[in-house]
Amino acid sequence: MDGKIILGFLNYLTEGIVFILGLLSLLVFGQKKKLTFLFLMFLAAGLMSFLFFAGFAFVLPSISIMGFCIILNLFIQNQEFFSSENSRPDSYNGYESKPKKNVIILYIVVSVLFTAGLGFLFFVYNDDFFKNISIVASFNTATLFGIIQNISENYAPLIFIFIIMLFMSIIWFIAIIKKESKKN
Amino acid sequence: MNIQYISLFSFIIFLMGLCGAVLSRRFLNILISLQFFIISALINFLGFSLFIYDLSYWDKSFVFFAVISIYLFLFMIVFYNYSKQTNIYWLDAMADMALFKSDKSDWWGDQKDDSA
Repeated sequence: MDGKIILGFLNYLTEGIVFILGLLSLLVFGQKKKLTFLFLMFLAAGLMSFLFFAGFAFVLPSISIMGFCIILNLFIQNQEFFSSENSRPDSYNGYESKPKKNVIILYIVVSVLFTAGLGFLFFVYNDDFFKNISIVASFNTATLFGIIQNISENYAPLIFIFIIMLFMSIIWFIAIIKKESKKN
Repeated sequence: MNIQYISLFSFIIFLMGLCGAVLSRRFLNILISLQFFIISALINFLGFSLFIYDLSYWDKSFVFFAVISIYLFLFMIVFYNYSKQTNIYWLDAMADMALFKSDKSDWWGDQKDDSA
């Protein structure tokens, strides 16, 4: 069997797993189950990055992803441990916590229609682009040494991300300060 | 493998994230939807670099830094909520637990009453 066909099959398979696990993590009730499916989705995404011949680009930064998963788990466990059903009021500041059934159905229908419309537009306007694209003859694997060499030589992505992070941090801290000043 | 299928697939994941982020009001669901955005961007980056360029490292180093910085940022948001919930925030931010404390009296000394 041709290697490219096997690779293609594995690629579609892992992408399908990512999609199914992601959908499950959104739809399943219960926060711990959601977190489990989310973690499995990360594992599938790591496998997928290997199939794109760039495993190091995703697996090495996974240390920060692990930190994120641990703190999210702690947060949810803490929330479930200390919260009780009696402490949740039915209405909070005039807003009802549970919307009516027909409102939920309306939300779902509008969001599905909106996303379907966006998907249709994406498909229609990108069709020509993909027909005219020139694809490489053979796929090459990115080595860890090559990535490290590129990081040490090329500072453009680092500077770009640094500027974006500064911008996002400023927005985040402004949001916190406003929230804190309202409370005080 | 077909780049069009992969791109469409990543867009479906993006739309799923958009749908979840718009539709849901729960903190966890919105965070999961943000993960879909990130995974979708990752598939696009790695897919296009594999199919269009012979061997490029620019995108890999970009993905390397982007994944680290985005997840540190998400870590910051979740830790903020976690610290609020567990009162760590008030211990650290409001109480006097800093290693180096500096206030006005450290610079100008204690105020003395001259009339005495």
